[in-house]
Amino acid sequence: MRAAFALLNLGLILGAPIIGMRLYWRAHPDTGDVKGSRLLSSRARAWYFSNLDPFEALCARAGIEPIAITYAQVVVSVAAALAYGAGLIFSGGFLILCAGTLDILDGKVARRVGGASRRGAFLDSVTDRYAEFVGYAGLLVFFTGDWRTWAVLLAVLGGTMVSYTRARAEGLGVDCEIGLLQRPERFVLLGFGSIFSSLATRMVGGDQVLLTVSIVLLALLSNLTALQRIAHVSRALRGAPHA
Amino acid sequence: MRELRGKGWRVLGYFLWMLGAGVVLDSDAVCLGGAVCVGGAALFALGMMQARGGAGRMA
Repeated sequence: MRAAFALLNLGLILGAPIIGMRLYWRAHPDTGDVKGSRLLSSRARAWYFSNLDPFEALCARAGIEPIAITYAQVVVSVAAALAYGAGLIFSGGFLILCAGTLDILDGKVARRVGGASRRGAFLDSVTDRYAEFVGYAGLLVFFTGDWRTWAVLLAVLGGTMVSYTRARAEGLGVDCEIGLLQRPERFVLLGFGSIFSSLATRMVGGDQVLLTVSIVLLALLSNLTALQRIAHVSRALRGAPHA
Repeated sequence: MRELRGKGWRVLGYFLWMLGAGVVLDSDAVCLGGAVCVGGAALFALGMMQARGGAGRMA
């Protein structure tokens, strides 16, 4: 019974975004100023951002502060960690996607209400680090005593270094928004990886194979992204005057 | 709540469906999860109908 329900979910959770994206792209072939990456195109990002427009308008009208949304993201990440720790992989992945969505929404609301301040940007980026680590902490608990603990630790290291290299580069005046696996890609990979892993485990068995693949990819690609950024900044600063 | 008209209800319905699916798959509260899924499906359908109505008026 649950296997049949899992199959139904696989169709719906995959099908609805694919149909939604195709309809959106047909109506809006231009992505405007939305940037993309190799893994998540500007068209896919533009579609997802457009889905949040009604919530952005609602939050702005209700007077919800962007920082409140940022803090809500941390709370949802803690819930995701608790879910992962308890072995609730589908729910953990769902909550990671919710946290990622709140991460996008706070920036959109801040820009809409004209409150995109330096203080807000600082608080947003530091709470993002906590939120990201908390999610991985739940996975560390779930995989305790398993080789996958090391993969999660490498993913934590990669995610932290991706953010740190950008922050340090921007502190030195170098634009560093490059690389394969930026934050939205990490949310998508971990969130949908968890959801589809849980569904596949219900349908065909196995030990969370897709989640394992997602974490190994996160570990490899996030560290590769950090290395890409290090090389990019190093090139940009070659010949720059001494500090 | 008029901001949610159409697309907003559709997105909320999709997320509510996933929440219900998580409850069904990860716990024993199958009835509660099923009810949340039905609520999500209803919101999704409402959003679809509102979007079609809006498109009809625009045409």
